[in-house]
Amino acid sequence: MPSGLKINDLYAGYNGTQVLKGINLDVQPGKVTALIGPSGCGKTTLLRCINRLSELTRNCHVKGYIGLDGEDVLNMDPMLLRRKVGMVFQKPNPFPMSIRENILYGVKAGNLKVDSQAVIQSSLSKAAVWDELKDRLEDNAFGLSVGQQQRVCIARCLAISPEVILMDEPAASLDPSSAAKVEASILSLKDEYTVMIITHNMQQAKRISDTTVFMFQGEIIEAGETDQVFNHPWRQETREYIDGRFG
Amino acid sequence: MNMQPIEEASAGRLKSKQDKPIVYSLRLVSGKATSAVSLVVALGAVLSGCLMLVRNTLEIYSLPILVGLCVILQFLFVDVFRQHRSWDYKIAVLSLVVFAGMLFLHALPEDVTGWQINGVFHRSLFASLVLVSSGLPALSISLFYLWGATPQADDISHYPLVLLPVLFALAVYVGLIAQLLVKGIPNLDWGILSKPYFNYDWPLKITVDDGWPTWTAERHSQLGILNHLKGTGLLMLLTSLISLPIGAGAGIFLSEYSRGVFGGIARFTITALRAISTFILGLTALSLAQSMDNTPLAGIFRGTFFNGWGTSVSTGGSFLVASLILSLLVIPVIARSTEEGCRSLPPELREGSLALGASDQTTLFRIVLPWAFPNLLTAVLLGCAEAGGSVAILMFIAGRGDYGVGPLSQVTSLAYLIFDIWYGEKSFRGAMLPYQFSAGVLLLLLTMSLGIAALFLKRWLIKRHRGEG
Repeated sequence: MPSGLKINDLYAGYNGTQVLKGINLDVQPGKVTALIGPSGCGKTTLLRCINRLSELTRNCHVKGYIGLDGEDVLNMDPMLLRRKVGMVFQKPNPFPMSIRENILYGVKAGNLKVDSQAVIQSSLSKAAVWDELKDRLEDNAFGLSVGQQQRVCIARCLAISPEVILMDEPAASLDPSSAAKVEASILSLKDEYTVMIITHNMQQAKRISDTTVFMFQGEIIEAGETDQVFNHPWRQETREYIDGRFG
Repeated sequence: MNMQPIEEASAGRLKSKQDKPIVYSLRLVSGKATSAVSLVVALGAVLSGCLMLVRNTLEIYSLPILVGLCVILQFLFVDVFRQHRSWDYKIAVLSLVVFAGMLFLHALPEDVTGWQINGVFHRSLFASLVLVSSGLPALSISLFYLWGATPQADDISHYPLVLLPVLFALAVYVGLIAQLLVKGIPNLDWGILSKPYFNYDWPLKITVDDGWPTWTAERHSQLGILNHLKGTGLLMLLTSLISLPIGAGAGIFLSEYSRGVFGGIARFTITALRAISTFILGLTALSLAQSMDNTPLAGIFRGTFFNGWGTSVSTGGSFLVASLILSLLVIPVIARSTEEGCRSLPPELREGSLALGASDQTTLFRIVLPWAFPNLLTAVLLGCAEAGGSVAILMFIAGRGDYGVGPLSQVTSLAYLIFDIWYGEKSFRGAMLPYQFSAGVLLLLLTMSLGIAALFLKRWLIKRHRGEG
């Protein structure tokens, strides 16, 4: 079941530098939200605050409220949170184990009672990689191509049935055909999951997202329906970024 | 067209190929010939200088070689001017140095003494010094000119200066091992290996004579080193069992959990353990063995044996004590290696695990430790090799293993045997002296195979468990 996210007055910083300066955002459940903006504007930090991976960095301080269907994210058990909010990273990071063990890692770690074979098949299918890998489940995941590795990482994330999926430029390091397959799988995740995806590729954002959020220097400049943000942006900065005046 | 400048510039240089092809090629060959000959002579000087250290009869060749070197260097000096139109004074200076060396050696008597040298040195030592120290620069310069005196030739000419020390060290290493093998292998008696050593009186019967009990005993005596072999194995096993959990735990703590002052203290202490001299650790072992005397636990620390009447306490220390002290040496090795293995984990794997909702503990056992496992295993094997070869710690507490080998019996090992054969009682020495070097060969085989196994195992494990990453 997808969940919505409500972010109120979120401030975050590392080592004295303030990265997020008062973020207020409502993420609709079951929709794909694209996060766009120039490098260094805080998109990755925002995502990492939502699943609290920001706590891994020393000297990181986060203040504010993030609500996941009413639950306060910043005050709940981080492990329970991360079972509801999954993340896919820019650089594929499969574990040095077999594909089967990779997919079932989160399931075993959380002691979830599921039918292993069904979970593996459904996750790999949703990640658009079942046909390629169904006969190679015992192979080491490190031996796959980069595109296949990233889709396995997506499948691994789906196996724990999260409510929200955070994706940090998932197709950035992939070749065009793998990127297309990843996009197709993201589109198929709509309705069943809430997806937040960071992307530098504006055509990709237009293709797959329902909502677009434009960030700049730690603040949300504009947020709204993708059509509206790209075709009739309200703010000057949004218009300039979309036109490619800065990037 | 004005041809003058080109003609002047080419005066003295080799004329072009088209002019007189045979003369050109002869000049080319003769140009390189001098440096080639010089290279050969210099190489001969260096090699004979090294060999002279081992066989001082070769010393008679030192003067002829130096004469040859001096002469060829002078030829090279002239030839370099002919080829390159400049005088390389280094060659002239080197030639003078060689000449001075010749005079110096000629002036020395065959056995050098006096000048506050305590003892007698054979002249070959000085000859070797002169040969190597003049041969190496000569080698370098000859190589430079043979290669054409270009900047690349300059680089190449320095290779011998770097290569020779390495070759020398390798030669010493190989020579030492060869000497051990030559002395040890002929005496290697496989019968010795399979028989345990014992030398004690086994009681046969007690008779009562006029109210006074007397007993007759049978002397059991056999030469062998099986007990020592078993002892080495047991020592390695016990030390690994004790030091693996503590070392791995320390390594994990240092890499995953250590923060601030306490982490710094822990790191320093673990490293400082290896700074303690092993003789001091031997004294520690002795005092640990003595610590429980006159208490019921004396047997555990001192080592017990069954002597036919009942259990008796030995005068040394048990395997337990020896392993405890040895693990003080091995724990830092394992800790450092485990820490390095844990730190080498790519951070994205750790993040990936945590992002799936795994706890720190799950991440540790399923991601971090499997990644660090090759380092851990290698360290354990190297620690074993160190434990098997150590003597200083066992010196005051070990024995001969007459009564068998077990965790609570007196400690013995192959390394201790080698020591004991030399410094032990006369009869033992008389009987076992031929086997001293053989025991050394066995010990070398054991520790080297552990080391090589560690190397290959690490590479294989990394390939398998860390995949192509």
